[in-house]
Amino acid sequence: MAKLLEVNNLQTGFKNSNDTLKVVRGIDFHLEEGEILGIVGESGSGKSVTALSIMRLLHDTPGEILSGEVNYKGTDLTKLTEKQMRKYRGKEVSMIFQEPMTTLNPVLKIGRQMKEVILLHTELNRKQAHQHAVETLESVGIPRAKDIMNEYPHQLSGGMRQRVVIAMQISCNPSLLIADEPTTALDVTIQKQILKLLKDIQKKTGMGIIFITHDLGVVSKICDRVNVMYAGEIVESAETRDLFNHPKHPYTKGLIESIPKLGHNQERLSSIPGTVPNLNDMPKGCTFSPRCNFVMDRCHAEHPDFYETDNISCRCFLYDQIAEERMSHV
Amino acid sequence: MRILNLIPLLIIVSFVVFMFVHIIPGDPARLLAGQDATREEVELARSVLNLDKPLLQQYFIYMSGLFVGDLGFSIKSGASVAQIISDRILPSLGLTFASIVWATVVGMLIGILSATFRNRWPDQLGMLTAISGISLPNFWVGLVIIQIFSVQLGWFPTGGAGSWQSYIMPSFALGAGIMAIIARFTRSSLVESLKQDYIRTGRSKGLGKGSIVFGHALKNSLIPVITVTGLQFGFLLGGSVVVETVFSFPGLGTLLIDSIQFRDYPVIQALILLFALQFILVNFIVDIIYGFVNPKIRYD
Repeated sequence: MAKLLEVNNLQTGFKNSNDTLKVVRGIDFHLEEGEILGIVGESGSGKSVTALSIMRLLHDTPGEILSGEVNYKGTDLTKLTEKQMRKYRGKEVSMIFQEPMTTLNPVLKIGRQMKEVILLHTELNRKQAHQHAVETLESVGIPRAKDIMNEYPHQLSGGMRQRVVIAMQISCNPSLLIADEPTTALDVTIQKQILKLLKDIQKKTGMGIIFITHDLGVVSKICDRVNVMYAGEIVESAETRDLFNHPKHPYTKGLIESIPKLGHNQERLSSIPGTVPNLNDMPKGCTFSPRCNFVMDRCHAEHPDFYETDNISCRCFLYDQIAEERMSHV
Repeated sequence: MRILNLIPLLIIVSFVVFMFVHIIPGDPARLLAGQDATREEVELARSVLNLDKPLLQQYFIYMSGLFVGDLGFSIKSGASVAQIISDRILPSLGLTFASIVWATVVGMLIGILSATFRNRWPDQLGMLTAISGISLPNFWVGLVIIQIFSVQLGWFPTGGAGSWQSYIMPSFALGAGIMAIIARFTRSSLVESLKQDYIRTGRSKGLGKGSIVFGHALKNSLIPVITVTGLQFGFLLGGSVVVETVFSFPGLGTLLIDSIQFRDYPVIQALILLFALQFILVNFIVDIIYGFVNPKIRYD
């Protein structure tokens, strides 16, 4: 499979009055065509900012891409002008958001919002665009799509609105869809439907999807590969099955252990002590070291690289062969 | 239905106005009879005007006239109040509309530019204009532009309502403050709208700045702008008194001043009632416009 997207050493920072706080601290990952890649992490780990950086949608934040490349089909998106970038948004790269209640414009009819993007990126005339919009709405499982074209967002339920947003963002057949916590605000049954819908769309169109979530359960259902993010870095990257079977990084282990399990009588839910470090007070060495149960002296001093074990690459000194050998020699 | 609700409101307004007007010190009977009239002549004038009857009874006499469309007669000139007002209402309405139209158009333009180029020079220039508009009292603006454009340059007449040129300066003086308020409201409301999630959605679809501002954000920002424009319009209808005086404009504002000086009760009452009615109507229209702008508050 060919690489659809390749992110190299992406750094995004928030400008403060006197300095820059790095939110995304040099991440590398890639996405194959037709692949669903999960990005998991807790709040503040930089996963949404990563998505907004790829889309170059940092307008409304104090954020700014500091360095790195976002190669989409061989074009570095970070080098494009705003005008050139607009041709990619909605047509090549689309995005769906967390809050379906507020992502649609409340004062414009669904039809207007659907047709707008189609008219912008295709050669279709108004009538054809209308037809295409209705068909796309039907394809995401919206009943009475024709009527809904004339309705306003507040007349629809949350799940329906998320379907409308999905329809809107796939209506121009993008090759890459970024889904930023698309199911977080929905209740569980609707969540399941939306996940199934995204998977079906992916199968039908072959688009690549970056699926951002904090919910490992969702990842296990939908993703082919997973990147685990912590404090603006990717700390572990693996195929979904490998990650769930043999998690390597202590952080990933903690995340998986904290999923409540059916049938287990647990007095307390397992959790990782502490919180994500503050942006302007990053620990030296490994960023996870203050919360890690396996912390070594080295973790406080050096920043770990990626180490490969069992098809998993993981940013943790526990998997540093050299270190292990060194230890055994002593 | 909503129009029927207005009737009790207007009755209350008429009562309050009637009482207040009669509380103002001063004696119209004395003014009508003349400075050197005898006591008997003054009493005669008083009874002709029904001013010797108890206040409540006067109110009922007035209201029973009002219900059959009789606004009474001016104490000063003897002409019917309806006639006096209809002579003056057109220039006033013209002035009001001219002011509100330019103030809304220019105010919204400045607001949109300021919000779109927030914290850059168009914003700073726009907000400087707005602050000047709010801070400078309209009578002062009126006097200054009379001095510059009428006295020195001779471009416009100093007063009156004889031609369309004579509307330009009063409507400028009257609209400047309103323009400024509308500019500020448009700006803050638009800035708020531009922060919303659906704007990010619009950008993610590849929309340009123009479509974002005019196609998505502006309509969402209109509610506060319409509210403040409606209120200002309401104030304008009765509040052009000062500007009309500065420009000796033959409108309702100068009529009100004259009538108050003469304690011309029927005219004062009719005018204030008219202003109240206009205010209520404007609010009513504003409510209807809300429905067009925001589908959530559409009235069925």
